[in-house]
Amino acid sequence: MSCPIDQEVLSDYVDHQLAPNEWEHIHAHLQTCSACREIVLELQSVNEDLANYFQTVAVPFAFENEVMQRVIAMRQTKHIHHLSVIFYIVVGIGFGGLIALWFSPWGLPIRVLFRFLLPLFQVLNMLSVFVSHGWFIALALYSIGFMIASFVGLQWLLRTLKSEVTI
Amino acid sequence: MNQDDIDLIRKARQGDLDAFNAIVKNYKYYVYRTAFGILNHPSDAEDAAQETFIKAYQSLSKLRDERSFPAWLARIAMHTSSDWIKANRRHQEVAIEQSHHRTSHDAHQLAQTQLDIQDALNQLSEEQRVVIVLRMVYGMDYEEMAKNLDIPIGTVRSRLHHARLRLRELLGEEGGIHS
Repeated sequence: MSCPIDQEVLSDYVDHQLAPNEWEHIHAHLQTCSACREIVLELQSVNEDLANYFQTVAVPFAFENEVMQRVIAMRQTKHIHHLSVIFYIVVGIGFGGLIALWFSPWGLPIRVLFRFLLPLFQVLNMLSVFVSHGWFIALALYSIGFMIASFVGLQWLLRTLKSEVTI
Repeated sequence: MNQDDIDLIRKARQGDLDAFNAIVKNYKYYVYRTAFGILNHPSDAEDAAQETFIKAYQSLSKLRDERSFPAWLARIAMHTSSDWIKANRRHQEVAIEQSHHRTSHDAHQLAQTQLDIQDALNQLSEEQRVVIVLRMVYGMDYEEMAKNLDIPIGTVRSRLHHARLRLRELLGEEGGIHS
């Protein structure tokens, strides 16, 4: 091509990225230079085809539902993680507190109270001897019941979370 | 960007899922077309577009100016799609999943043109595809593209120009749209 106009300027012209006076200059040039005009027409044609192409790219069906399901699942996981952290902190504080009560001077009143309550525990112990193995059976039944209730509760919680995620 | 979108972003930042759902609805075309333009593969584009929204949701609190949301989202979509290319090279294959179940002659020709463009886009470099997408999908000017891609305006100009020349050449070879 013998034309002195830089081809990139023609791209800028097509994209309207030139200053008004430059744009006018190129516009006037195109009236006289058929080679540049041809390039501009081809670049415009490519632009038009690309615009049509991107317009026809269809977003998959139920796209936003899938995104929202993932967002909700992510939120639930985050909540469960937070709850787990809180649980471990509470357990830690509980154990720490017990150890502190047992060994530190601040736990003295509790230990004294425990000593006073010890006879009561001994009475209860005697009672257990009195009712023989019934006490242990009651305790075992209570523990099993508690475990079943916890398991059912946990299952229910998981089912609720799952159903919320799949909504 | 309108005030409604700004309000939606503010609400979504406070944890309002309905607001975020509306954002996904409003911007899904941009994001999916960005991913599709870069990856050129429908299912990869879908995954990358979903990932883009997830990342946007996670880091929405870091967005300072709500008005910059479209450009910010475009940046996430671009980076996610680029990372996708690095992670798996499936985009090299020409996508054949897209359906063009048309019957009339014109519709068939249109479908053929679309496939030609898809094929031609596939032959551009990733950098060229990115500038094409930013220009054609988001309508960004050179300055915005340079800012988003963190490259000089001259580079944007040159990439875009060479991408178009290459497309012109490839589409001319295909004999589809210019014939």
